[in-house]
Amino acid sequence: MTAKHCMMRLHTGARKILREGFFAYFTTGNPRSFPHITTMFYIWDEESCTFYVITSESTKKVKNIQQNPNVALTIDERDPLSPAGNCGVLVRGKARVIPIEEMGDILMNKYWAKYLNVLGQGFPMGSRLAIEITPRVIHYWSGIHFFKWVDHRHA
Amino acid sequence: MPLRKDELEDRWLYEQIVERVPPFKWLPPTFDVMTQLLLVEAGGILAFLYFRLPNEAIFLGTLAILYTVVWSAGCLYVIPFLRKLRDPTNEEERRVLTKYKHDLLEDKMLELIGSIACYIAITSYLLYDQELLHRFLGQGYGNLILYGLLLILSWDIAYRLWLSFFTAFSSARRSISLARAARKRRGLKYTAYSEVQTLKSLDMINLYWAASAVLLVPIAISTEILLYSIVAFFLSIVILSFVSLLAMETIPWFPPDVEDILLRERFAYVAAYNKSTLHTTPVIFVYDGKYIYFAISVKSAKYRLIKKNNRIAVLVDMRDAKNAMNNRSILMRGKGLVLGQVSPFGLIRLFLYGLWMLRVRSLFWKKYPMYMRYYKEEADSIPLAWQDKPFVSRVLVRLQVEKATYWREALPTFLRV
Repeated sequence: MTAKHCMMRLHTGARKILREGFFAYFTTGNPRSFPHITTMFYIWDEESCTFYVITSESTKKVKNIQQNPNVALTIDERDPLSPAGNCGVLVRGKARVIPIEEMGDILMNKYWAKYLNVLGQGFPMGSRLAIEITPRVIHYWSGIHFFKWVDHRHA
Repeated sequence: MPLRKDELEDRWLYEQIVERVPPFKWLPPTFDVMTQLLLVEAGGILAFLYFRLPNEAIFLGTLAILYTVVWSAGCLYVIPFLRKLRDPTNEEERRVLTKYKHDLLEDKMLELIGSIACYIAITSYLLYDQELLHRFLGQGYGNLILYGLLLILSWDIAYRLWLSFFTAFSSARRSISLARAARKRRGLKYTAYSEVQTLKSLDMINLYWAASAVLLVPIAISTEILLYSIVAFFLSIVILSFVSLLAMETIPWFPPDVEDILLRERFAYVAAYNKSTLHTTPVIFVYDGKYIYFAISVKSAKYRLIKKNNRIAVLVDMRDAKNAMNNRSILMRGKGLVLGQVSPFGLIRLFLYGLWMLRVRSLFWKKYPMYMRYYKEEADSIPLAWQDKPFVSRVLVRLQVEKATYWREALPTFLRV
């Protein structure tokens, strides 16, 4: 199964970053314009090896995904003192805009558990949508070392 | 269609003539200059033939007419841009530009008084130097019709000389005031950098006007006073333009809130894409007050993608993991210009931007001394792609921003660029 394959093959360092990362840099691209990056909160569903971000319907990223489902998600740890200390994960894959209910209670609870302190209890979720990202390629770097995982079904 | 009163108020006298007097008003602007040249030159040739003027007169007269026409072409090209300048969002900078436009376009007294003073100086000299007049008019010397034509031509030249000088002077004064006002910016108040660039381009027309005065040198060369006057005119415009350019160079292209992020933050996220491949990775970067620069490896996916599609996005953000409302970021989207690659284009760019590249390199050393030291000290143990070897393994990318969005408290503000 792809998800298991992903979990097994993914470098432990990459798994650590994906589990512990707080911000993700989510990139969408419209073929007729420039790429679009935003800083997002995210959760990683290790079971299915998919990622979720939550956004509003009217955002540029939703419009871009409707035209081009290819996206990128970058989660990294920065070391301001030495490039050898930088590490990160770049996920490239396909995105799907779904109603937030489709995420299911487990994932929503996971999202709230991770970001409740930042968003606060009263954060409105009613009008929001979820973006589900299914990885095709995952890159991981740690200093000068690079690793790559590819979902060969789509490669 | 006749112009409204308010439209006439911000037009130079020359423009009003072109827009209201036949046959110019019947013609599109591009034909006005050519018609002016043909009409005045035809008048000159007729006078030359009828009054049997010396051959020198037709040559020098043609040069004087050419000067007025070359100047007019610049005027008709540049003034519409000046009128379309958008107001800065910073109040003090807006005041400076409003005054600049008022002085140049609306204050007819400045336009007239200066032109008349210049005209009086030229005609006085012609009256004083009868020998020059005699040489120029030959058998026509003393003819009132010819004197009339000469006075008209003198006015045309005086008017243009004055406006060239006055425009250069106003530009220098405006640039110095604008640079001062820019230092007092707050928050997101600024002058959009496309406007700064337009002003710089308009200033270049001052040099064009100065250079066009070379056409008057053969007329002035026989008399020291006229020659020195032309040289002084030329030098004063060059110096004023240089001062203006230097002052404009000190104006930052982004408002203080954005500059704060660009100067303080140490990492940027660069996105490049081509067809189905999207790629976003962190980079170290520097900001020189105008452009964002980052260095990438020639072995990297970014480099391959940017070479195929130079439309990129760069995000710089200030994170606060405790309060999402404190997060601030600037997303800049535009074209990436690769500098330092070994190719015919790369060599041309090296010639054009070589000094800038050295400056950018020193900015990297200043902002990231630990990183740069690491690249230097570990050169033998890190892969070639990581080694700090310009042209061999690393190239610089300069972002020319076309769209910018600033986020504060999760609210986007679209910045004019």
